[in-house]
Amino acid sequence: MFWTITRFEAWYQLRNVYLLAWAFLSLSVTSAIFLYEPMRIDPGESLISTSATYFLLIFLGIVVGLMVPMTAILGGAVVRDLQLGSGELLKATLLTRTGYVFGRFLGAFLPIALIYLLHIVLIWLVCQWPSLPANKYPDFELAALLQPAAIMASTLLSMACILFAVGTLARSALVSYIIIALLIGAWVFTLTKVEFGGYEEMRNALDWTGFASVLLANDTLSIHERNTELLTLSPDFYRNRTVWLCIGGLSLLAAWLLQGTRGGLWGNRRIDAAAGPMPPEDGQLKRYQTKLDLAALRTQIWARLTLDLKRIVISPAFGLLIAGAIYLFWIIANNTGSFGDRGIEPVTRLLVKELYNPSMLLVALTASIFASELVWSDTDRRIHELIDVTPTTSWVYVIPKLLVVCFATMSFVLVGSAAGLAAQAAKGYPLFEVGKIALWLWLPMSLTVLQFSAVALFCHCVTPNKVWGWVLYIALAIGISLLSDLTGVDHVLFDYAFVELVPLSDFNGQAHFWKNNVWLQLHWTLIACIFLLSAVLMWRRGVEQRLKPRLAALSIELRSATGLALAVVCLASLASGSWIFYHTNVVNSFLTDGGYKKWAAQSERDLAPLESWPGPTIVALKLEVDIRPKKVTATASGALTLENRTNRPLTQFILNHGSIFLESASMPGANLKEEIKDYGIAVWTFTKPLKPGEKRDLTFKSSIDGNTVASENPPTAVVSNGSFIESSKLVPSVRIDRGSWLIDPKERQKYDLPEKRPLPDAMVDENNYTPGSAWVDADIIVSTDVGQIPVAPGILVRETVKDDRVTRHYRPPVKINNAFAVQSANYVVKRERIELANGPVDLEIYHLPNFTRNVEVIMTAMKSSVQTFSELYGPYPFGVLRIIQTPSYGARDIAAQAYSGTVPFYEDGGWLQIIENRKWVDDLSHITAHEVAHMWWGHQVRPSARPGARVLTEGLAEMSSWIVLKNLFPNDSTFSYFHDAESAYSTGRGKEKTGEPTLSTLEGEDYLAYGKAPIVLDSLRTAIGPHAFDAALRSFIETHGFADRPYPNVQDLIGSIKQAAKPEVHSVIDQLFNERTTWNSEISYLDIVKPTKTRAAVRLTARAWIETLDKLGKPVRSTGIKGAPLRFFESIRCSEDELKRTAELNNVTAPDILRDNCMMTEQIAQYTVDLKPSPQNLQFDLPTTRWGSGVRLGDAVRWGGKGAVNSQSYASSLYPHEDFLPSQKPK
Amino acid sequence: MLTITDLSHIYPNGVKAISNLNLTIPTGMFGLLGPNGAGKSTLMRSIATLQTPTQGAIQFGEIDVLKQPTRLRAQLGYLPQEFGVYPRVSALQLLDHFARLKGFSKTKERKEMIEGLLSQVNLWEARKKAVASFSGGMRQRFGIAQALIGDPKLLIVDEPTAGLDPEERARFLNLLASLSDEAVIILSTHIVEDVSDLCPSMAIMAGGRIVLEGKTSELIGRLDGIVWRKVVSRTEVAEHQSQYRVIATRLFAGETVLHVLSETDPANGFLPLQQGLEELYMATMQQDRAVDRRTP
Repeated sequence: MFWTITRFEAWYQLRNVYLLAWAFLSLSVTSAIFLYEPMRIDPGESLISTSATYFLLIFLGIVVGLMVPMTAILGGAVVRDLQLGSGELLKATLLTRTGYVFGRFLGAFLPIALIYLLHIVLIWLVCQWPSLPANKYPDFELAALLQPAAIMASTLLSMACILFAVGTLARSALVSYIIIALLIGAWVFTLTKVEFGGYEEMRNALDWTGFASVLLANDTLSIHERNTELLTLSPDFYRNRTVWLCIGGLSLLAAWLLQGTRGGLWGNRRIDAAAGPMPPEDGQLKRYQTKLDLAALRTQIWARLTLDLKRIVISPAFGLLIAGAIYLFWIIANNTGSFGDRGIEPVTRLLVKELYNPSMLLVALTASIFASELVWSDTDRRIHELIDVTPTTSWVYVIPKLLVVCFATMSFVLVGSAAGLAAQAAKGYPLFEVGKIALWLWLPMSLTVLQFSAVALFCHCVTPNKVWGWVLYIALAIGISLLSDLTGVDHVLFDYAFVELVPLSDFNGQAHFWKNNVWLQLHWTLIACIFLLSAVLMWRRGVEQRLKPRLAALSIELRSATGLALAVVCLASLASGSWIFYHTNVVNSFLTDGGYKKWAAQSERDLAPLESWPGPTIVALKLEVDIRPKKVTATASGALTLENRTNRPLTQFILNHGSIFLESASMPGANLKEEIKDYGIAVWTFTKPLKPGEKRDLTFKSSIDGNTVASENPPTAVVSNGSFIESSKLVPSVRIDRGSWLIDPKERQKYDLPEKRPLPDAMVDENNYTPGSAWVDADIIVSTDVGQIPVAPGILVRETVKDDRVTRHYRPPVKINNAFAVQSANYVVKRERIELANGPVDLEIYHLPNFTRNVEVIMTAMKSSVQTFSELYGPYPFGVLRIIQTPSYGARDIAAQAYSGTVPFYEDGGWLQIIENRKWVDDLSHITAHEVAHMWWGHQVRPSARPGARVLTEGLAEMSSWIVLKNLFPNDSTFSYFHDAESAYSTGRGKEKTGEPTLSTLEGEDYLAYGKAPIVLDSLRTAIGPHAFDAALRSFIETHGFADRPYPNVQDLIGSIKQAAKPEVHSVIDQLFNERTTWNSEISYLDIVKPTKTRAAVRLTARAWIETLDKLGKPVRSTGIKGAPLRFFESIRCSEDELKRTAELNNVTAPDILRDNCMMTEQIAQYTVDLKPSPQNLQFDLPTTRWGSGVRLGDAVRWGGKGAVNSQSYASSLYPHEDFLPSQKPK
Repeated sequence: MLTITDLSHIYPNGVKAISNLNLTIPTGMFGLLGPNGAGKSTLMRSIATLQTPTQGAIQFGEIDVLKQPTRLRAQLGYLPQEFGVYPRVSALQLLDHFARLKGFSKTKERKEMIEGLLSQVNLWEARKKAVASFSGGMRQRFGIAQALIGDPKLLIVDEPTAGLDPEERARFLNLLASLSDEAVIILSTHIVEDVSDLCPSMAIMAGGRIVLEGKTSELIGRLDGIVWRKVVSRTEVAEHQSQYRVIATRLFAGETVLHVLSETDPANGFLPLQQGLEELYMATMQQDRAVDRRTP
């Protein structure tokens, strides 16, 4: 009987049109991902295409996609018998409960499994496809396909069991869909949003896909390893799979048990209420007449409203969704207190930022759920004929349903906000700023709710069933926007109801940006009204489900007041749309994403020839900036002094103003010859050639207007409080700028650009900060409204206050980079002065009055950094150092940046940071030290544009910051910054798109500039000796500081370091800078025998080798390590001093509780051996009575003794352990 | 008066449910008989504004039903053959909901009306119970109650007595009769007796057409002397069917009774039959089928 049921069910489901359609769609999309380049899924790892990692991602997508038909099929496998009434017929046969439940499950699961299998076969086939380019899937291995397929098959099975149980329990397709939506939603947010801190195991346990634990175990693989090796499956993974398969099994059991309960087929059924006895007749029925007046209309609307509201509010689906929303928003809100890896105060602005998009997404998804339920419920319950013959207008149905859908969807926003407030309070921010949430979130979201609710009602009203309703809804509400993005026609007018959150800041809340969104909100609300009025006009009544008869009747309906209203709203929306279009496309230059890339490619083709033009150099700058915070505008007038530093007279030059609104420019003896408006480039000719060494001034005027209409990225430079205007937004340059050119190799290929375009000789030795500009003499005047402080680089020369305007005149004491920022806000200033050998330095911190929490931390780090770097690298040249709190509008997830003498410190990363333990390195001190180090590395030494430049700026600044951190936090032995850099490198290199460069060829790679470079520099500092190394850097600055062309490059740095190092180390330096190498050691076997009390016989197997890798991480050469020390050690309990230090560092008040766990090692003996890449058996006879713990080889440690296991017996790092370096002492 | 003119309705699958139907229904009870698939439900839904016919016109007094559906609905009571209810909603609440939708805005008036209706249909004791838990008969009584809200001037009831026990049926028919003085009541049913007992006018539908229409008594009178009956054994049935125009074959006390149509005395043991509506219906259907067979 079991097999009969299974066979029938499988046959029945295989004839399901929706399942077949889904399978077809899924298989088509899967093959397109492999065969059709634009659809290819790119996980940021273009070089990885046939790896198990890649296939895992693909199968994950397939399984998540299959959840939808699985929910329908498995959720309905049993329930349909109850709904259709066929259950009783089945029960009357010889069928048993066991055969029925498990047979139905297996029968429903088999078609799903078959579809999954088809995907595997399909992928295998497309990877064999002969017409594919040979290099597309070069290393395809069947095992790499089957392993992830098997991993995800386990997910498919466990989820099938769960969905089957859910469907059987809930007996509602809607509830099943909601549960699966919640599972997927919770999974996405759990994986991407939640910082689990020390509870990573919890995350792994919650991950029903098993994906996270696999990903985590394989996160640091190189590209080569990813392409050639199978996935490493950690114990966490096996635990996860066991747990979820058990949950699946138990779910199946629960489904079996449920069938025996009252609600199940094998349980006792409910008995109808009994009819009462017939009373005697009691005369005529009293007659009542109805009157359809306004009161009646109110009564009708109220009746429908209360009924619809009850219907939704008391439904289990709503409860589930609310519970799910609380969970999701709690998780999301918990992410509020983090900036990257740093913990920050969860202020309401950040909370709203976290809640806004998920709220919008949830509203978009659930509006259709509720609309479909409400629109179809009368029909589903077969009461529609009774309802529809009542004398009600369509408004009586539409208005209540709209209000209820709005209420239901808005509930998620409200409970989400409540969860957010609770999360804030739990994180120690119990201010409950409901007013801000209402203004920033609830107000715009209430319009969003209305907009999505209206379109959802319309879609379910005009379609013949729920499925088509959903299809139309997805198409209208989401599809158009998505399609416009995918096809590159991504105009703001295609994004129905998706209005971006206004930029928020602690400086001025939503500032003037709300005005930017007003037109969009108005427009979408008008469109929503069109949907709503159309729904009223075409409301379905009676038994006719088709749209055609309603469309036929529309000509009559349109003659009503509703029709007139529709016409008015259509005209109004046309007007608002036109206004938005005018501002987007006419007032501003609009480019779609595709259009922008095309433009960028064309600009590269057009402007590349101009790069090699010889041009004058900017040597001085005068700038006067007039900031008008209330008007949200700024105007600038200035003069650039241009000097001919070539050896030939110049007859023309380029003035590049890019996207700057340049009102005028003039120069004596020069005329505008040609303007290339598309790129903001002007070609000027000298009527009288500019002779070598001659200088001339170019004067200009430019402006910024922050008032915009419906802009997706409104300009944020000028605001009512917290203006931050980078000089590039006001001051033109005289060279071609590559900033907008395409970088992604795939896109470059797509637009027929060469893989790389080397800099022309004229540019290669330019500085990489501000090409065409030497170190400049700067003179800057900034004015703003009284109440705010205008800030710019340089010493404050004069301040005047007149006509409610405050003007400050700044002049740097030395030349600066022609890249800086002027700022204005209602700051208070914390000032300190430190006296150094070369004179005093003023330290100033500009911050908002109520942001005082971290001022002392920043000041301490500033002082320490300036002192340290002045001693190590030479005097601080700018006289004053300002750290300035800055709105985080354009921060792009960075915490701060450095200009000459000023450091804009963004409000999120810096001012909200929570420092829990002042004894440990905190990120605020780290960032401060890093940015201050740029005053030497970047603002004194400015590298050329040659590859490797960022080693001289970011690499050296980061390494230097570690010196400060070691000074400030001498007791912190965790070296978290070091491990962060290691982690950044090891995860970053595996995601390379074109292969890993070396340090001397790096260009934009952050994982090398901030990861490998400081590690290499720091290890060389250790190897060479800090004194010699620092002296070399000081000398490097003395040679290249403030020097103009030729600017230094990484080879100059390598030369300086080599000069400080012994010749034996030179090859190591070359390896570190010019190659990709790893230093490896392993002790694979250790055996200890103590033949006598005074001797120990030790046998071990060890190897040590340097591995050279190609750009994909594939080993190409291995060499052994000579003179590697094997250190034999014994573990001992911590001394009292050590115990006390550890306790203090960990904030432990009672050191005794650490006593049992605090262990140290003490070296007993050391032997030096030459080791090869292949394992060598070694034997030692140690004259000791004490030894018995283990052996250390570099970072590889193996413990001896009974049952000792050590995971570090193999160690690999990208820098040499100091044991492996030739003996070093300062020269 | 309800006037239906040239009414036709074709479903999307091509089925012609109503074909050029013309019918005038005066105030009072009007019976509509017809086999399954005759188009009765389509006709009633069209009159009840639940379906827009493909062509034709329906006029109720001064109301153009197709163009002014809301006006008609204000005067309409409708009980379909089958209907569902909201879960967990009591009879009192649901009836109150219908009353509100029918425009009764005064609470007191509504309450009185609903309580009266519940008593009339004998659901007073069960008024607080969920309608979803009612038995078939109770649910039908509820349906009758909701159709009677607001003293409808046009009452359309489809199989209203199906599922009612004889006592309830009699009670309901009396209720309908009491309303028939001022309203047009269309009673569609398979229970021929209901029509013969209640309806002074009637029509028989088949194949989307009205095949017979008129005053009930006159129509029945047409059969005077032309319907005959005979008790036969089972083996004789086929032979008789080939020889006579058999309009009905029945079993009575275990024996087969044939009803045949004949202008003259068929002899051969046939006895004259006291004519009734059922015979009229059977005869009409028999004639209609014969016409259909002849139609190429």
